Amino acid sequence: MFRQILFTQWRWGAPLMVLLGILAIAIPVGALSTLPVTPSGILDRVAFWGWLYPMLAVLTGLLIGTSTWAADHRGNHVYALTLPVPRWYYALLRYGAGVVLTVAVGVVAWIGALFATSGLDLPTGLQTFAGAVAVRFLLTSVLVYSVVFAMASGTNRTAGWILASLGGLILAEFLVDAFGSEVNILETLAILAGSAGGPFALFSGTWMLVAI
Amino acid sequence: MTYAIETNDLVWSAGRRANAFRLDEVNLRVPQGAMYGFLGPNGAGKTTTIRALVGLLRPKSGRIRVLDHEIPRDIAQALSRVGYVPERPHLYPSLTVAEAIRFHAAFHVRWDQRWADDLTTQFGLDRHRRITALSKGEIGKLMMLLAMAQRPEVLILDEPTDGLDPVVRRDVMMALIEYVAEHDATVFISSHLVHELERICNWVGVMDRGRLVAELPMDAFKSGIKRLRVRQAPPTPGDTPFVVLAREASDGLSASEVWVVRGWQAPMSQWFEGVGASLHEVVDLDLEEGYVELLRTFRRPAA
Repeated sequence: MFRQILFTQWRWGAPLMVLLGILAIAIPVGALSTLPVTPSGILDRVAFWGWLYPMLAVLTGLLIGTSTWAADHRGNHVYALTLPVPRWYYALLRYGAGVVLTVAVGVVAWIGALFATSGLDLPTGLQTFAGAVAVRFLLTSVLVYSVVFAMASGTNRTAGWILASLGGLILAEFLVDAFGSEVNILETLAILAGSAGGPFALFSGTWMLVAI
Repeated sequence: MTYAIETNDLVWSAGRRANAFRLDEVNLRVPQGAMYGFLGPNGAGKTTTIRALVGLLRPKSGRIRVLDHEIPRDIAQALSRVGYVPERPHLYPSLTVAEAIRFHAAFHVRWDQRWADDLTTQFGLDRHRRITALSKGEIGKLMMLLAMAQRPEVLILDEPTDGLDPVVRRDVMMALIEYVAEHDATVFISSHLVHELERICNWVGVMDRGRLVAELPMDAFKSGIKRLRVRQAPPTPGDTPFVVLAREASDGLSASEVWVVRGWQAPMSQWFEGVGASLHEVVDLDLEEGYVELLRTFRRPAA
């Protein structure tokens, strides 16, 4: 069952997966090709390219998450709902298949990082972090995938509630601003979510393939 | 009698508005092993009823049982014994025929791969062709193949031959009849093609405006509805031993009328003599004519 679900997911997501895989290799290769000589020059180059990693991780989670239910959405879920398995189990199979594909991109990112960092002649004091960046990439993409999957699994009403909540926050921000308050609701929430212990803390860490 | 499908006072509504479409206390009884034709005009509630039977819609009230499973509570168990062909194609378009078969087979423990292979050949389906590249007829055949190769005890088919050409329709119906003959399965089939159902079904249910207006064996349905040519008919028939569905003046003969009646039996002709009328002709109606007359009566405003 799982194999078939995974296969269908691969079938309609294959072009995306290939694209994500190419990007996952291109980032480390681009970052570490013809490196500057000085340590600070190297760090600047790696930092410049490093921001692409979280972007790609988000893109990976987003694309795989949205494509997971795409074919079911198109058929109004009639096929999935008339298969003889409990609905929670079917959703779990779909989720699991998406995780496998997300992890596959993470593995490609790791291989790319290993490939790009292998045989690098770095100045003393600098070292490579291919594994650490790959793990961070993998966790981030799975996190984004899970959030998108959960949203896509919901009904239109759920999506409406989420959008209404976001709209409510923006409206609150606007009203607070209009009354001259210094409180910045959205920024505060973003800081809380991205700081240590927050649900999106993974994004705010180091994404350096080469560091001290 | 045991029933493969049974609903009790099934009520479902498309919304809260007073004019929203609703199923109104539908009481279906589909006997085990029956070929049950589910008739009704567009918008009568056939598809809605079927969607409730396979757990796609949650009833507002009432009870649904399919093979003794409570729906929607035991829907997964019920669906393992039910083959369902929806009104519109529901398969994943990016798959090929062979992949769609493999996918479906993985979910059905009683899947008969050999028969699926036979049907693929019999239906002339190209295993390597994508579903998006299949014609309407080929998709219809593939959906029937998937529903039958899972060896279901009940087949619920929502207009499975709608829009198919006569050759494809015949292929599909032949495969269905073959399956039923071999497995003694129950078939619940909705269709606009009344003549098609007349040939294969032994039970008939008629829906109109969200209500089940008739449910009876096909023979009883067909033999009980007659068109009578009556002369000197009384202006008000009073108590009749049959149900008068329609009464119209016959063309050209002012003293002659055409009556459409239900529950007719031959000895009832004597009733006409008793009221000073004479019965000149009794015509059997086929299922379509009977069905149309039934709907006309049902829709006629109460006097």
